[in-house]
Amino acid sequence: MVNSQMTNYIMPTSADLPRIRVFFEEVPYAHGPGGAKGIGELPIDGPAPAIVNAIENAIGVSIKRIPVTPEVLMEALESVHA
Amino acid sequence: MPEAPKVAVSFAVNGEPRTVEAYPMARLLDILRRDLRLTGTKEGCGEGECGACSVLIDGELVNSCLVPVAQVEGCRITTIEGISGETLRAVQEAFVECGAAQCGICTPGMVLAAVTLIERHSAQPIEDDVRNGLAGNLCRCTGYMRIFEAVMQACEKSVGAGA
Repeated sequence: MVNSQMTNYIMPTSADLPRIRVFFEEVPYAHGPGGAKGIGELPIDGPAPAIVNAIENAIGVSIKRIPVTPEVLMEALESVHA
Repeated sequence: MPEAPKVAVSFAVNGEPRTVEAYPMARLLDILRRDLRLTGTKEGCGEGECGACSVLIDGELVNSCLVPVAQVEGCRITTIEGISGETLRAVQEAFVECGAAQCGICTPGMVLAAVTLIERHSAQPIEDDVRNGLAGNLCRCTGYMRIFEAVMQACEKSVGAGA
């Protein structure tokens, strides 16, 4: 990696940045509850659904909450196979 | 070449005299965090670029990741733990009020840099002074704007009354 250090991975310092003003432009999202759509820290939104979908794909049980602990998994399996 | 043996190094941290047994080239950052358990000082890049590990040595703002502990024999060190007493400093209050922190890793260093720049300005600093005073401290979350606001607000309240 050519820029693995902060020395050459150049990022803006406080002396470099222009003034930033933030405005929220509200456009309701057709597929979200109450028109809402997540913003910020988006990388944390995807993995949990992907993991529970993978679990469903593997064992055929849909789990709707996290964390999927071994206990949660066992209960889900028992409810199906009881 | 054999490693230099541990030596006793004495210095004051936040007004308390401390002596540590350490390898002379051990980073002051590690001595503060591991030996003295003062974990308010953060390690960001570990190479002197980000300012997260800022402390004051005899009143000078320095990156503690670049300071061998042998260099601080007899020095007065102030960390973020020593920057406030019973109550927060004006600048810390302002950080809270303005929402000038997100993940928080840069915040201790930012506060120390802010205290230093406020103390160096007898009059109300302009935004450029604040920008330059904080230019050695990187923040990847905030975009800096709320940090500037906090420092400017703290200055308005405390010019002439100590930061």
